[in-house]
Amino acid sequence: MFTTESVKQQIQQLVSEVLPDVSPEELQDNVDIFNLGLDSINAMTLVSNLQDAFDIQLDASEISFENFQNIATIVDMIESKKGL
Amino acid sequence: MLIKLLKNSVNSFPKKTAIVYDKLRISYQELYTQIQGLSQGLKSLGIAQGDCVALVLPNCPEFVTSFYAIAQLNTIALPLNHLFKEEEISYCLDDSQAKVIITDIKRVEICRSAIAKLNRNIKIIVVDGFHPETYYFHDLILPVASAIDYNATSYFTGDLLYQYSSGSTGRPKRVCRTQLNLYHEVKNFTVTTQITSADNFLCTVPLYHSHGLGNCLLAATCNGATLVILEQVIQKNGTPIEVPFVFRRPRVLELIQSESISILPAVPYIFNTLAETPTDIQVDLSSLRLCFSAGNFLSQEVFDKFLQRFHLPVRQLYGCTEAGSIAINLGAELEETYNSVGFPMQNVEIKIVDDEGKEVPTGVIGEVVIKSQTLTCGYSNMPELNQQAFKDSCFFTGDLGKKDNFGRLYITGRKKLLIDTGGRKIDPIEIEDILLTHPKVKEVVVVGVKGHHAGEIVKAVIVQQGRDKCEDREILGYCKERLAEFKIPKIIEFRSEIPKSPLGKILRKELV
Repeated sequence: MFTTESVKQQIQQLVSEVLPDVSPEELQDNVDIFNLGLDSINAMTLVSNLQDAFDIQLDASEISFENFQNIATIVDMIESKKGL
Repeated sequence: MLIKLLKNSVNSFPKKTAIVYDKLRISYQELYTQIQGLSQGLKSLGIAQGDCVALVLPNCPEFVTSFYAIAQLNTIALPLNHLFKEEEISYCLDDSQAKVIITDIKRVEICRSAIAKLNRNIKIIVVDGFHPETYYFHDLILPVASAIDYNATSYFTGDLLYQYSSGSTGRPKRVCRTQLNLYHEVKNFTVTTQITSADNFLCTVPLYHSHGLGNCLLAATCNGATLVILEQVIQKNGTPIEVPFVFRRPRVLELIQSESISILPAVPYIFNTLAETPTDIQVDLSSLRLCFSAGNFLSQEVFDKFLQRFHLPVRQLYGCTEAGSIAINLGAELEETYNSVGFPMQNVEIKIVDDEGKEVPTGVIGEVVIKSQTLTCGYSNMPELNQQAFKDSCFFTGDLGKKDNFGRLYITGRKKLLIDTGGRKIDPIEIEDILLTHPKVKEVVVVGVKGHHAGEIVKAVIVQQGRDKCEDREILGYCKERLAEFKIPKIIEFRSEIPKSPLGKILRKELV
């Protein structure tokens, strides 16, 4: 069962996995993840981990700067993708 | 000398678009007028022949204007990685004796702190806004008569460019190249790849690097072609931000189509990311006539993936900071020879030699040695290293390679170790040197671990000093203050000892 809170927690977990020196607690909704060291290599990992975890396939246009800016925007994207 | 090539472009195509940057389009005539104006502005600051001007800029039109204005004044450009931290900038400013820095608002404070360490007066020019005690770039574009002096018969051939190359001796090495070197580089590249004014280049790689500078900026503007620069992402609050390439992919594909891009110079990581574009969108990349990869070996996986997705082969180019582009594989039978960097460019000689410097037979691996008019005359202030690397006007690259029966070159490895994180090269020794200054670090070895997406991840293996527990965070925090983001280890591992061979050689493979 997906709820906004559980989706959010899972996303915080997945993002913190690719940013080793950042803890899930530091990932508040509006913290800009590009400023926390999300680089070219770990961004690709994050995209594929999100797709696996939520069993979705992101469209080319969805893998965008706007959607990946912070936890809140990723949550919005995943929820609309899952039809929540 | 190099400036002559730009003047030819301006003369032949004054109204043609030289640079595209987001919604901005700059014609050759406009570009040239700005260059003339800025060179007057730099002169008014007291900059004269032989002086060094540092560029700490992301890719932007002002980079191009600055570069040529510096060339016009017979001064020296020092393009630095815009992600550098204070300490790295400070080292380069000091080593190069730069007199001016051209930067942006985002980096102005870092530059100021870097200068403060040096106790020298270095002026700062800011391209995108007003800032206290700095000069505004556009105020320095002074009014000048823009007519070109076509009668000039003699052109300056002296020093034009300083670039730092990662080395095996810790701190990066300063490479100096002349206007004549770069003139030949453009000429060789143009003849080899048949660039014309009808070409449109898309620049997705950094202009401070020899790949972006030589194969995008110079190759386009010296030939009257159009240089489309992938613009920075600007946040809602107006400040630019570095965004991983995967999130720029929709924009890059849009630009290739809307600007009819014909030449795409990039790195393996970028080609991999493009090839992985989800198949929900149809992309027409038929305008591309030449996609080439440099900076690192292109794997068969990436080559195949790109070919399958876009029906276009990615060709490999081989080059180095010391000499620019050296070889490119333009062969028709690319599927069999995708892993070759092809034949030497026009006017470039390549030999494969053994440890005694003797040429080896076809198929045998040895060190790649090059001879070219594009070649630097050596590293600044490193006489011992120069004796080893530069002999009989040849450069011993430190790369290992072989030639096939047809004379095609294959790069097989490196004598020296470098880590490649998606196009950006890191010298592990540089990071080890920094970490060794941490009070809790006794021994450290930095290695590259293969990542999932065509790049290596920086890993530091540390033997701790003393009994106080050393946390990952302490190490990372320490690195953050001293190293650019991409150099900071992503994996930290503590071990009780570093594995070594009986002869004391570090067994790096056991640390990966």
